[in-house]
Amino acid sequence: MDMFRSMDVSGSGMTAQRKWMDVSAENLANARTTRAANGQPYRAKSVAFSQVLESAGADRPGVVVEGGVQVSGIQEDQSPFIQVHDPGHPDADVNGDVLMPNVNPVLEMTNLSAASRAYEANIAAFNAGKGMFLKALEIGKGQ
Amino acid sequence: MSSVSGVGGVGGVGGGGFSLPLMEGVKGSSEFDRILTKAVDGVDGTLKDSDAVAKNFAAGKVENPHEVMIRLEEANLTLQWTLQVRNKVVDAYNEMMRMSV
Repeated sequence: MDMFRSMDVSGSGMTAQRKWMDVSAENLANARTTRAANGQPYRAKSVAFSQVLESAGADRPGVVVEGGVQVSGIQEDQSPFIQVHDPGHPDADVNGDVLMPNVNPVLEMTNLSAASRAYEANIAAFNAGKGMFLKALEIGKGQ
Repeated sequence: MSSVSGVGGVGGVGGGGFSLPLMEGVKGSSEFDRILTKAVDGVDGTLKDSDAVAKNFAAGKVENPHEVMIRLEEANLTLQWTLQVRNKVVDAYNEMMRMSV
């Protein structure tokens, strides 16, 4: 329903922030994974958001709503892997060097905080919209 | 003239056979009837949506818990909106019935 557009927009924001948190959690979990795709060390991932320009069909009402946000893509960080000298590591090369993922745990913790605060901000916007609706119901009361 | 069409709608529901000269312009289903029917259909749809989402959540098919909460909240608000409309209509009807003739 159109009168709940702001709520649906806030909902799309919450979905996007959750996806961001998922990706950060994945990066942190794989901060020392030396065997990911193609036997290479894990590459840090980051999300990109885009605005929804057209609502999805009636089969997904309120999920993809015009003016909302959606995750447009998840990119891999192409910066070089971190080289660590650890001859005892199973993936060490002949010189005893191991390539570690290019995950920056400090950056990921910051992203986690930002995602969680952005999620809360969307909830605040949702509640403001709900408050407005309830206030509108009080028009004409107490005559 | 929306208040007059409103009275026409209520009269229709209450099996009212009364016709005033004022109400001759209101024939068949009034605009108010249509608005009310559409609104009730909308509320019904929202409640069914929230029901489906709650079932999906119970079955573990929902990945975002806030989607469930948003649907439930929307259903709750539409229901409150309908009750408010109902109250207004009943108020208007009671006001008419209290009229001394």
